[in-house]
Amino acid sequence: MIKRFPLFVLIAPLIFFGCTSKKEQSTVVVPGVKFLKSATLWGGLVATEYQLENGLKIILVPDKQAPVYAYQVWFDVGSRDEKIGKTGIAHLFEHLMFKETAGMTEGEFDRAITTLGGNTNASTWVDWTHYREELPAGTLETVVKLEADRMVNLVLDQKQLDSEREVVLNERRFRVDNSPQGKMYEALYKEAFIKHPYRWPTIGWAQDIKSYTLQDLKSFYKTFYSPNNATVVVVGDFDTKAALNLIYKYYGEIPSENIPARQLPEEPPQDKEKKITLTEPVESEKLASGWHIPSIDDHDLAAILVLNQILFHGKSSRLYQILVEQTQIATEVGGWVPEWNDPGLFEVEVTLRGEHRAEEADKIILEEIERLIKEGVSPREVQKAKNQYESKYYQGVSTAAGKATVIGHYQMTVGDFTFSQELLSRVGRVSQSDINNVAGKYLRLSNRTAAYMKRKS
Amino acid sequence: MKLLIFPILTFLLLGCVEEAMEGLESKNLGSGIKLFVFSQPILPTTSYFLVVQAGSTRDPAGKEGLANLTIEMLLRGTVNRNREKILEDIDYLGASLSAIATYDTVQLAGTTLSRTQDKFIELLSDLLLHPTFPAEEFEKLKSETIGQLQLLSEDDRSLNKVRFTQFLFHGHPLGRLTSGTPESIKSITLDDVKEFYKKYFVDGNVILAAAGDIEKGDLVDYIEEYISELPEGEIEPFSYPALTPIAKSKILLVDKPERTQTQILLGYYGVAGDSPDYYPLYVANNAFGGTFTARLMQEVRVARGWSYGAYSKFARRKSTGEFFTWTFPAVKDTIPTIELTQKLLDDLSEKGLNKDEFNISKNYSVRETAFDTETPTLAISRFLEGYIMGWKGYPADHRKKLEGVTGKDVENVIKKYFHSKPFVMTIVCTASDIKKGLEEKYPDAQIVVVPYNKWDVPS
Repeated sequence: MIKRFPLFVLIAPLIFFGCTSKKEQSTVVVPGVKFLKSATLWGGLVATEYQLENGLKIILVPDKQAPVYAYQVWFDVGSRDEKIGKTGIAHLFEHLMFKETAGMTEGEFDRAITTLGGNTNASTWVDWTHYREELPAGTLETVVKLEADRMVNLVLDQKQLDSEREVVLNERRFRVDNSPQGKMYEALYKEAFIKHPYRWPTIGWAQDIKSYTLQDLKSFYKTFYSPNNATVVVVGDFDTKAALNLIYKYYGEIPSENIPARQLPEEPPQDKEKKITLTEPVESEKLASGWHIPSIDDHDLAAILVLNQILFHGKSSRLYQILVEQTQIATEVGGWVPEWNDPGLFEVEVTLRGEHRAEEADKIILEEIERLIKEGVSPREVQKAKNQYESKYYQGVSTAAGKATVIGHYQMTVGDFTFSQELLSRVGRVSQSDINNVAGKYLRLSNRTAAYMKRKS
Repeated sequence: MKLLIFPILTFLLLGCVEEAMEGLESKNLGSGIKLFVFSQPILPTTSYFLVVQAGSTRDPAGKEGLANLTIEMLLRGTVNRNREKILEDIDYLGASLSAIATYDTVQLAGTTLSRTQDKFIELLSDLLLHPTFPAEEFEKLKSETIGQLQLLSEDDRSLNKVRFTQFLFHGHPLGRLTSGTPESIKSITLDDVKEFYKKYFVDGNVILAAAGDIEKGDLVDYIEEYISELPEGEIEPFSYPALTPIAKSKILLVDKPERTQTQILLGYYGVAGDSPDYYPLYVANNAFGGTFTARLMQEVRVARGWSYGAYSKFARRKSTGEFFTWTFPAVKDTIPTIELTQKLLDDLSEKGLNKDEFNISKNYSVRETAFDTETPTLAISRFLEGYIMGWKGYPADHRKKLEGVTGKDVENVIKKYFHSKPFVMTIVCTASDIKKGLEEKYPDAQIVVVPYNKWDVPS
């Protein structure tokens, strides 16, 4: 969930092609800053990771492509770290981070960024929370100072909580309560997961949003917002040494905290197909289906990513061809593979056309999966899927903010921003038989949950 | 005859357009295509925009959506490829390609990998030159388009945007929906599509712009291999008619069951994109509703928590664009949010901006231009926008014009363009929740209720 503009930030499948050379660059030495590692990424850009003594990690990618840069602070806390009865607190807290600090009144943060010609926003997701600024070059000190300040000096009061609670309830009305898709996915995850926190929405249940106390928020801040639970990512037009000096200057004195060890309930294997039906005032029926799949670091994930491309992604994919082009029973088909810390759901969504029923599409999808498992995929399908991945990847890293987001996401989910290269390697090695194996292993009826959205008369 | 003059035209540089964007190269090709190339080999991809300078304003009355169907039909079959083969080739190249219609253009826009771009150009040229307009695909397309239009009513925000356009510009070409309506789509024939193609896809009316990992020379070679010539044709000039002044406030309630939140667009006519008032207005609006620090956001969201977002904008178009404010409060806060928005408009009109607001907004407006050319695709898109709209010198002069905006300029445009009445407002809501309250609050306004899934909007 994001603080500002109502666009849901999803991390597209991310892979790196043609950027596997890894080398240690001539390291910039700054007192108090420890070099960890460096790697060459796309377009020859070099990413270098450092760490302060208080545990703060820093990843810098200087790039003079344009006179701008992106500054992002990633915290290793997301909605999976919430407790029952307090769902959505990570997201509401993210909103409060734009309020006042001990030395800064409400609104000063935004005004400072705006005056510099920059934009600022934030996102909360299941595994992480990140704060982002995009600014013209030459303005780094201001943003480092502002971000470091709110990491440790935030002031939380009841008035702010009450006001922002209303904003978040409105955001929920926008994203979920008045959105058929929002309602459908909320219901799907609630049904598919019985133990793991992925079962609740990142924005939280409405009754929980209404119930947080000021103490809940203070405790959340104290627990999760410390340098040893954060990574700063800077990409764009800046000087490395100056950036390290500034980061050391403003973050160096912030004490580290004891972050409690994460103890998340493990989701038990699903052994029976689940189906739910929702009724809404929609124009046409919809279907959302989800199969449990492993976490981001599992070796099967690369083949699942390719499988998704073959079945659901792009207008030449198998199911788009059948449902939209040939039978014409649907207007939209899409699939998505989460790259999450813990096992997630391989999602498929279909919007039916006219009077066609969700069950019709569901039957066709299941039949096509059976056919794929039985007959396999062609080498051309595999190559096409890899080409599409590569293309999507480059579209995702065309801007400084895009690059920073890719780096931050992998740093948070697998603890290593160079994991993208490993993922590239894995995708590159995916074979026809790998695809058959994962299709048979995960796309089983007993492993899936289906949500049908029917028309309310 | 065209082939005879080909060598001369091939090397005729357009010249002045380079002034609009540093690093841009251009060429008039013998085929009749204007070529623009922005070579910036940062990532191994190139973006392409094949633009025909005729859009939905050319749609005949009752056949709204014709331009859109025409450009979509290019992806439905050629002498060399059927629909399935076209989609297969696009995906196999690792490319994307979309058919887009705007008020002023139809376009094929996409991106491809460097290693496949010769094949991509071949595909693009096949789509441009050899469409077969298969009848079966045309019927499929119409059915798909109607299906997509019906889906629009499930998204309250998009639904309201469309209804606002229809309501504000009723009877004017800007009020004709680029997408068409279910009824207008039904009335379009395949002959209409073929006629549109024949009329506008002609010599001198087609632009190909490329940006990214491509050299001009390579691109010219590719194009000359695949595109020999476009047919000759004469394009009738189009000029937007004058708008009918808004004499009386009017409210359209787009009635949808079970809404717990309303979508509100409130506005009126703004200015043309080439108006000297545009830049001062841009600065003024950034202070009023263009950023998170602006008055509208601060008062509606930050101070009261009434709406997740609160924005305003002067749309920049070839002709007069619209001004609108956008909020989406809970049902109970709907009328207070409208009242507050109007109060803020009146306050601005009466008192203008304070010095801090002006300084913040001007600094933001000037400095954010650093992002205008962050990627090759963004840079060429901005150039194309200015070229098509006829904004001479844009985007090269964009920053300079913003730097030249004075406090006095802003003061003048605020008095001229910001007001609370008369207004045009559309609200997606459950009408029974708020109609009575609106009638009491706005006794002089025309209030009309339309079902959310009906496309006929009254004037």
